[in-house]
Amino acid sequence: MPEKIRFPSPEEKREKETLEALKERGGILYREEIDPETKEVKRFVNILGVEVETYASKEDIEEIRKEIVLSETDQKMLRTIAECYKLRQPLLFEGDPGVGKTFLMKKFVRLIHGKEAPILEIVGTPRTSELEILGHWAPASKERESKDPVVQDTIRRYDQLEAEYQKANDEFDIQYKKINDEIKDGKTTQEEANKRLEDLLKWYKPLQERYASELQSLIQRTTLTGKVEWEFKEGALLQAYSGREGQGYILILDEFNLIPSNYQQIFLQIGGERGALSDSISFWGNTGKTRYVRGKDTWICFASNYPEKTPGRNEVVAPMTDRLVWKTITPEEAEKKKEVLRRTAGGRLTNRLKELTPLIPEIVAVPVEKGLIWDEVLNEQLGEQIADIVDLFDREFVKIYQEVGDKITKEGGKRTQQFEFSGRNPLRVFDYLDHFQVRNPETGRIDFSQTLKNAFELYYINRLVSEEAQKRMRELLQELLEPKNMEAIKKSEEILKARGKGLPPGAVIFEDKIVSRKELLDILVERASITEEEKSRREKEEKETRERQLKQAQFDSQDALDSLLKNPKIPESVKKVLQE
Amino acid sequence: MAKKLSQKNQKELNQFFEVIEKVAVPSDLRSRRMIYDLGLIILEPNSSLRANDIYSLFPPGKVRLFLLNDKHEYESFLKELVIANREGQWFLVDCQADPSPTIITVLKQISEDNAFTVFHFEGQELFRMDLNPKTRIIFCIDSDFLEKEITYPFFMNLFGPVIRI
Repeated sequence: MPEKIRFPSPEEKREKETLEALKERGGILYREEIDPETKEVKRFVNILGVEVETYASKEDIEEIRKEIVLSETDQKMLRTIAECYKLRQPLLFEGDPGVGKTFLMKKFVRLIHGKEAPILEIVGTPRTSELEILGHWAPASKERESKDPVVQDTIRRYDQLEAEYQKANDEFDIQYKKINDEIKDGKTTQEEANKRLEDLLKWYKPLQERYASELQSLIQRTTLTGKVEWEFKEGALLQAYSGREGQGYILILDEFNLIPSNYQQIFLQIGGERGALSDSISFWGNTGKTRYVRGKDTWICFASNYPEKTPGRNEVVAPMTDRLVWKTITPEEAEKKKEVLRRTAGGRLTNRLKELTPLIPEIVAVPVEKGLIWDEVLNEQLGEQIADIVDLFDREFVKIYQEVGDKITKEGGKRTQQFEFSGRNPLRVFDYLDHFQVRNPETGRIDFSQTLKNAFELYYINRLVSEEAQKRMRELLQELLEPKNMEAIKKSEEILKARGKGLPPGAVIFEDKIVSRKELLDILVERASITEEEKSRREKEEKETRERQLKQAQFDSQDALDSLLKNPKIPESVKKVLQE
Repeated sequence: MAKKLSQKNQKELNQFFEVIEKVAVPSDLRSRRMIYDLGLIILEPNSSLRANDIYSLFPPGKVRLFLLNDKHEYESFLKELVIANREGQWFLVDCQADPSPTIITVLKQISEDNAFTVFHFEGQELFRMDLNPKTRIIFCIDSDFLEKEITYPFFMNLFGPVIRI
């Protein structure tokens, strides 16, 4: 059969052009357009296939682009940053110092806000507390220079109160860590630990409340004298949400795992719907509860070291892990990156740079302009299939992870960092599918198997350090989409008769046939992709074919008749009957 | 004061200051932008030297000395740092308290970007400042204090040249 020629749609052509332009411009592209209504110029930056709005100028973007060596590892990291920013899902990079975790985050902030933009950043330390994160009331800075005895006395009392509170916090953290270490070392049971944690909180909560009420009373008393001015200094988290006149900032939180666990928990508030940042956070200040609404530019990214390699072995608290998209930079990825830097003399050898940093198509996939939408197309069989695959993969991943876990070295035991899976990841996957559907270059249709693979890589597999564990999970996914022995399964009449009993999870019965889930997704996408125009064109074609076949049959029968009539061996009487 | 310095120490310190003054490193592996390192002077247990003695080695006006003796303190530190930076002075910190998280953040930013950003400073929500090409930052710390009291585990990584005297 001759090969079918496929003409790409204008949309597909544009996607290909974008990909080519990205390859030519080193993975980062600037674009601007004029809003037809407001006539306002809108700027966009396309970062490895993900387009987001920017405040940076074309020149800034060009300059920043040249400062990044996009090794395969960097491409993965930068693309992850761009995807999470676009979906406003908070991200954490975990890896050794010097692998470029905060370096790339800062470059990204500059690609969005300009080369000279101030960056909102906290470096976590064992002493980082709510003062830096949320903020605090304090006598106005100028008051410290005052000689007024009332002011001096207020400052002395304030400092004393702060010191006492700090001491209580330090003690809380020491005890909290001790209990956790004992659980890990098997020195105490979970039940016993829970009881001790409860007792710890019983001791700590009243101290917290006492601090708040004493501070409040100090503020009230001293404000009444008219001599002391107090000010609320918003911390980084509140600024990230509502600073810049409500537009918000990108906040970088470096060395997150060094922050004491009770203060890490302040960030639990950022967990919102569908695994994205919450729409607002609340803060109990001295004037009551204040709500900080998330600005349109708010985003938070975290960097953390492997607890196994950090003095004190601090880790990110488990409930927080579920609120973050988590990407470990494995030792192998770090080494690959360093090799590129060494072999290109830090990016200075331009020819070698081109040779060693080609854009990886699997990473730099340009999403389709208009994907299939849940409310319209996906809300039927196709959506149900996707939901089933997400459900199956999530359950199996969590089960295997809990049984086998992950290792930082081949010889090492289970990882210190534990993850909690409470159901945010599947929701993130669905949100991802709304924005990052990719096209199958051969068929031109949306490739949901590949889109799902990309999503699972981002939200699940990226959490793992061990390459062995990553491989195992990828194989699991492959089995869910296309089981290995699919040809043999398809031929099994027993399974068909038993209405699918005995089928592996990666295969289903569809219209009385056994198909893999990948095949089914493709069939359903093909059906869903047919437009009304295409439908009527196909119907017209079918009608024309039928008419042609009918005419041909008429001609053929006439030819046969003519040849019979001309045959001298056929008697005239028969010919007469035939003519009639 | 400088009398307490042996000739050997004097020589080593001069070399140390020269390195701090002249040697720049790329801000990151790719960048051609060169930045100057922060320096760390560790005073050994048997040393009778103090930060004031180091300070007195410089010509008047070249260095601004700051005593960090309160672990919650950061505002005065920032004020003094900004003044030193505006004047193109060196900033010598007599570190007698565990630096607050804000100070650690500022030091890490300077060591990576040659600039720092702090919030709520000089009336700005976010205040950004590039380091003056003439300014250098040196911390002077007792070795015992460094071992026992500094809580930030990567404190030493913030500095380039380190000298023990």
